[in-house]
Amino acid sequence: MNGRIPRRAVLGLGPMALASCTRREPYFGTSTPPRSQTLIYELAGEPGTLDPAASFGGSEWDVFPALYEPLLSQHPESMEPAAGLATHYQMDAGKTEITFFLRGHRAPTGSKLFGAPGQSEAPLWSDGQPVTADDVVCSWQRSLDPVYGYSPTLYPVANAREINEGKAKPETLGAVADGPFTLRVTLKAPTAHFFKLATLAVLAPVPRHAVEKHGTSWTRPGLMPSCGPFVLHEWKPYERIVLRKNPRYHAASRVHLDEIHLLPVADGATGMKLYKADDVYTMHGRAVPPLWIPALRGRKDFYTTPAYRSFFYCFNTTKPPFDNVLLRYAFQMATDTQAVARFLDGGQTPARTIIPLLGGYPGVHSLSVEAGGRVWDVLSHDPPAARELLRMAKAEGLAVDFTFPGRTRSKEIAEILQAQWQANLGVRVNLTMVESSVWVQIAALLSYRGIIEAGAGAEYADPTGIFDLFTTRIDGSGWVDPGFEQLLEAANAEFDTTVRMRKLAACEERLLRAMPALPLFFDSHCYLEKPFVGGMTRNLLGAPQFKTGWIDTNWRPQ
Amino acid sequence: MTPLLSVRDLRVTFPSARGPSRVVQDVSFEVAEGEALGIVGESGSGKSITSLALLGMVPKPGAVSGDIFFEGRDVGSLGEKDLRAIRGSKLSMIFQDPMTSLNPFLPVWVQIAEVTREHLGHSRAGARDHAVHMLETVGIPDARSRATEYPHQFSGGMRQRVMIAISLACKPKLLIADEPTTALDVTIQAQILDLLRERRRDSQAALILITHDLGIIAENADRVIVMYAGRVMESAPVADLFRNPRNPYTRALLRCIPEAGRRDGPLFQIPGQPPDVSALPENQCPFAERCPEVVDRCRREHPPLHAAGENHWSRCWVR
Amino acid sequence: MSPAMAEADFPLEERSSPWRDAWRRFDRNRAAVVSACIVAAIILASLAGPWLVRLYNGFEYDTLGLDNRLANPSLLHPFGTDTLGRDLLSRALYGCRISLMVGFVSTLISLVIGVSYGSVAGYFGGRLDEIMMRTVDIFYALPDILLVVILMALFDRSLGLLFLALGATSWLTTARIVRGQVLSLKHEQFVDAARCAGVSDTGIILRHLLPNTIGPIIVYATLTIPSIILGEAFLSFLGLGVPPPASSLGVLASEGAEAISVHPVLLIAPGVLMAIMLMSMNFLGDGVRDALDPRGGRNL
Repeated sequence: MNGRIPRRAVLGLGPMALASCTRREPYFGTSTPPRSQTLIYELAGEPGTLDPAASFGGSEWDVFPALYEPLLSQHPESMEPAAGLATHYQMDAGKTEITFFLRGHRAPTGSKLFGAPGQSEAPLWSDGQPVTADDVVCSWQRSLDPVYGYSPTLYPVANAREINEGKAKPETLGAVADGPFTLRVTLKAPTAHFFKLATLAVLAPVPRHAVEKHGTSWTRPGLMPSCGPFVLHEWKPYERIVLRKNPRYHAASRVHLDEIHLLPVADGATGMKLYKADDVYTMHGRAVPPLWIPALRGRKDFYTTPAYRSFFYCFNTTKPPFDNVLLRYAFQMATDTQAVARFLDGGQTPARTIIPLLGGYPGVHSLSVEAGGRVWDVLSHDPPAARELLRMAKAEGLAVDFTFPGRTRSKEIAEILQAQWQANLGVRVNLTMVESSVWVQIAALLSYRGIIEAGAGAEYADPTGIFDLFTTRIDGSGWVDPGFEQLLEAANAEFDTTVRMRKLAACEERLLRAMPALPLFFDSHCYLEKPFVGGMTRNLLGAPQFKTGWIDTNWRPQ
Repeated sequence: MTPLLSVRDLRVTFPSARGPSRVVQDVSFEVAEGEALGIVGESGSGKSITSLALLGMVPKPGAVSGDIFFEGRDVGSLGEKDLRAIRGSKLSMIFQDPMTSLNPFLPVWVQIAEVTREHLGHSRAGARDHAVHMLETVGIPDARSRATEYPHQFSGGMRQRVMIAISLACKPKLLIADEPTTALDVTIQAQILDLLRERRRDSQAALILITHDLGIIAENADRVIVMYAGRVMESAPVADLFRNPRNPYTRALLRCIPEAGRRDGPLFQIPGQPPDVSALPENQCPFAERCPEVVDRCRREHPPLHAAGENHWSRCWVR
Repeated sequence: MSPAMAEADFPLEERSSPWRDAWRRFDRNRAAVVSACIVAAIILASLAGPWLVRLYNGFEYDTLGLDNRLANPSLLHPFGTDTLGRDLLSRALYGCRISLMVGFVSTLISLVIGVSYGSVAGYFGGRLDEIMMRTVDIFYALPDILLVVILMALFDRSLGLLFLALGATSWLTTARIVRGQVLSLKHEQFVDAARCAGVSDTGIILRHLLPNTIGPIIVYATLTIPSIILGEAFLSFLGLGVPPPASSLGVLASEGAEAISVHPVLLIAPGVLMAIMLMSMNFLGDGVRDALDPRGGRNL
């Protein structure tokens, strides 16, 4: 029962042997391209809804980029804001008034966004109705309706939070249509990352006329006009969703795929079988069950790309024993995150901080804290120091509760950490597995003791996206720091990217000093993609770019 | 001196299709300390039910009325708990067939110990030793090793000795023996009866000996009551009964005993059958149909008990 | 004639107790004896096995070996290793221990409930008996696995709750069996004799009636244990079995099922072990039932 990790490694036999001793094919399964530009994509389960306002973040987030054209898009490499529905923008000196000029505006002024055409046509819905700035305003007002729950993404807009909390009328929103192609947005305070927010589907316009006409069932095939590259053609629940190319899309000529079939698959092993048999061509970034990774390594159709997703645990800072920050430092320093990343072996990056080191973010690399007359770098992995801190926190021989949801990866990581903490700190860890829905509740209500699995994928690829969890108190640690929130606001008012990133790092340093969370790794997307599929880049959020995708129908194996 | 047991007008009635069945009617007797009372009768005479009534164990739906005073206490008014305290400790019973009355799955010492632990509060070890001692006193050879054996490892006579051991274990004041030797060989019978007599002498226990065998009564009882169809027909000291039987039924019973040495002639049998108690009419002598000395009055009136000598009573119109 | 004189009666055939008879019958049944040996071996292995494995290769059942995951059976690891590099042999034997514990404790609980319930109903009879047995009939109609699932899902999962839930859904047949036995025995002469000797109701039930029901109870228990073990394995597949970190064979099997395309040993090892254990227990139960057959057991 003393959980030590022995060094007995059987050398030469390699870490993982394949049980199914097939010859190592370069590609997993057969690879026969279809004869038409039809892509089959595996979704992470049946989408809850295709209405962005009503979505709680399910598999539909992979579908939205195909059906909606948001205000802005992102440059595929630099992630800088690029043209979407808007082609130009103008910002006032106080940096709180932004005027967006939509396609079809005869005389746009201000800065031109990357990818904006010389002369733009008025955008149309797939049923021929024009897309106007009014659609955008109404969509935003609608998604802030308290009926749809919490929508923090729009909060930088003036009065957005108050409307979402039911304290203000929708008409008071800081977004006004000034003509069919002009959108005036008033921000609460200068917000540098608003342009990143404007690329999200939740900020894309929904067809007002369809919503008014059909009510909640407007997202049905045939009734759902789209202003994105594809239109909803068919939806058989739990079977498949079929999208067809939208001929009225402003860049329709540059969209190669004619049809997309989306298959909702909940079980990882089933997805693997479908892919192997050529029944799906590619999949979302969490589709590969961890057990399969060793068997897929080295194959040409297996990809791992970094994700804007941080896997961390939260301490319940409101109850003993983790109300003592020294103990939190001790656990952080006793954790070998490299071992966890090595175990997962799916392109994850071991982390000693919370915010992924992506997109120009410098991060925090060491943090000196003074305690007991000594100075400690609480971000390092230092078991002897951890034991010392444990002793100072008077927590020797402690028994700690650890709660995690019933997902495979969660259990295994929990067991690894249990062994680590037992070996490095001498603490006994009691594992408790709970249902996913119960887990969310327990974390939100802080009704657990000890440590709980938290972790987050951000809604947008920016440090604030992860900080949002802490400021909106849904992280599960109970840590509250008004000073942190002020610091964050100041950082987000900084429009110079480098300066802003530095200021955000200072925010993270402040957060890490309080150590409400125990970082483990920055996640990655693991997926398979048939060799005849091209152009389907995945951004840091993992959303597939269907509009640039194409099929090489003449592809043959070499 | 108050008698140990005093039974007055005991009645036990069972409901039946034809009306109430008076299985025991107007039975009265007394047993003094150390005395041996014999109860004689054919099967169906109500003698076993009488003994059950003394223990408060008449099965439902039987109804018991009358007075039963044991050691001055009214048994009929006692609750189940008090009755249980008496049963097995002050008053115990020896049954006819020791094979069915002993639990075949328990070793014999356990069956003795059960009673002593219940009533005397013996510890397990103490009860075991006591049980071995009891087995020795009833003449089981090699008692210590045989104590752990099961009832069917004993012969019939030995089993009955075990039953006696159980019944004597708590030194009862009154022993009821219901046909204790009927299932046994003649030679064994004598041994068992001798054993009973010896043990009684040691412990001064009174005895109610129930049997259909007058020969056993002659040697083992001080007083006798003769029952027929649930009624006492005659009650007398034993010598008196044999020398001077006053009731025709008793006389008939005596004639049934084969005379030792005589080999000629058929055995005497009382003609007819014992009556169906549920169908007996109230207003006649129960023996009327079979009595060789019957007269008219016997069929018209139920005879009361009349004095027929010193401490000698008989129920008959024909003196 | 002294009563102490030895009896000169017919030679007595030495007849032994019903228990010795039963043992002899059992002994003659080869399949039952073999099964008993297997079950005993498994119990021994589950208790001492993990300790022996530790002596052999230093691995406890929860010692991680992250450098050597999903290894095939080898000299060092006779059953290979699992997804976290833990020795599968040690884990499988430990799993046996947990499964056996669940089986025994739950069966014990079900026996305690069933025997008390059945003996009270049978001994006192009348209206009480009717009410009690109608209640049993109602419970019989409820699907037991579903009840257990509901109980485990409603309340905090703990080992104690699992024992209770499994035990509380399998006492019904025991109650019926015991009631039947008590009913058939309570009118025996020796029961009357005991009552005449002043033995209390509890004493009669405990000493005279129940010991005679031990035969069927033992048989039923030996058949209940494997069915409870199987039930727990089923629950583990639903994620409702023994709560982590304890892992029964069922938990191991459900973990193994996830990895079946990649490393089938993870499923085969606990699966085969469970199959052998359950099969031997069932054979053993059959053998015990044949040995304790009431027709040959009572000597009257």
